[in-house]
Amino acid sequence: MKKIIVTGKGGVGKTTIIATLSRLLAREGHRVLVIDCDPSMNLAMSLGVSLSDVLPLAENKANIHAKLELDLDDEHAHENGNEIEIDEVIEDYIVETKDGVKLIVMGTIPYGGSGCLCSSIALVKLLIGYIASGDNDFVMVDSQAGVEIFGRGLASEFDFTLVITELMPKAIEVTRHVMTLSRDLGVKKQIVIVNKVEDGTECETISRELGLNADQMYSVRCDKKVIEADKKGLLILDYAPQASVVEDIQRIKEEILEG
Amino acid sequence: MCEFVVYLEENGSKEREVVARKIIKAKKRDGKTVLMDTSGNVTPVEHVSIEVVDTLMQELILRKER
Repeated sequence: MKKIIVTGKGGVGKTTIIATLSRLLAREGHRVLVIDCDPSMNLAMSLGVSLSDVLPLAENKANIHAKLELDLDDEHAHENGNEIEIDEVIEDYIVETKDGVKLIVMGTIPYGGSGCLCSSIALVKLLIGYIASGDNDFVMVDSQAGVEIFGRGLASEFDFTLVITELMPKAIEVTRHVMTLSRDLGVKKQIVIVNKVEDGTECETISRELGLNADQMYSVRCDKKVIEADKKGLLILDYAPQASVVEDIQRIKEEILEG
Repeated sequence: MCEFVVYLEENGSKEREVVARKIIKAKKRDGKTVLMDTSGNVTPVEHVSIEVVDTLMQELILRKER
């Protein structure tokens, strides 16, 4: 099983790319589980599912807590990690989406002053530890924008960090920071995906700024069809399967399969 | 994880009462358990022990000492 985390500055196109990438992998018969850790919770919609059909983890912590036997009342309960049937614990929270991609949504901040996301991220981290022994080919985490989730160590020992960026100074700075933290966590490979590329010079500039090798960088072309699809509430893979953006994400999929 | 709700449980009872919210630090001092919240307010609680620290549920549970 390969574990992939996807992040980047807000608004760079992270959710569109992870939704499309996960579906392309699933179309080839790979078992893909995507975990939406972004409190804006847009991934469900990007995979063709209404949020009302999703049961977020954060709203059901007590139930999961009980199923994972985290009360620790039985001192022998966790001596053998295989005793927990993780599929039974998370089955209520998995939604099957387009092309068979399975989705879990971490959840959001329910009301002002309700506290931080730390405990929800800790729960996802715990679940990923269990899920790692399951039968998925890929577990992909859609991170909240920025670097917070790396500070929490959620991506520790992952196979790939995909950092989505664009030719904007702030986005490049976030990318630089993410790559540093990702290396700290022992992620095996960091890939920078330059989104909304118009003439290719964006990649040269970002490559120079970040000191990247060619095999660390992929470009996704700017495509008006993405915006058209978004405005119509459609998914790019359904609206324009021949779009250049889909073609570019196909190349990223190949890298992930080979890497 | 960053902030706890602190509950007090009576021995032998599953009922619990909220002692303090938004607690960021708990410390034993002079036989008391002292709780500090995000505003720096301090709540001392006497004759209790810290029973559970649960970051997933963001709970810290105190139990009355016999």
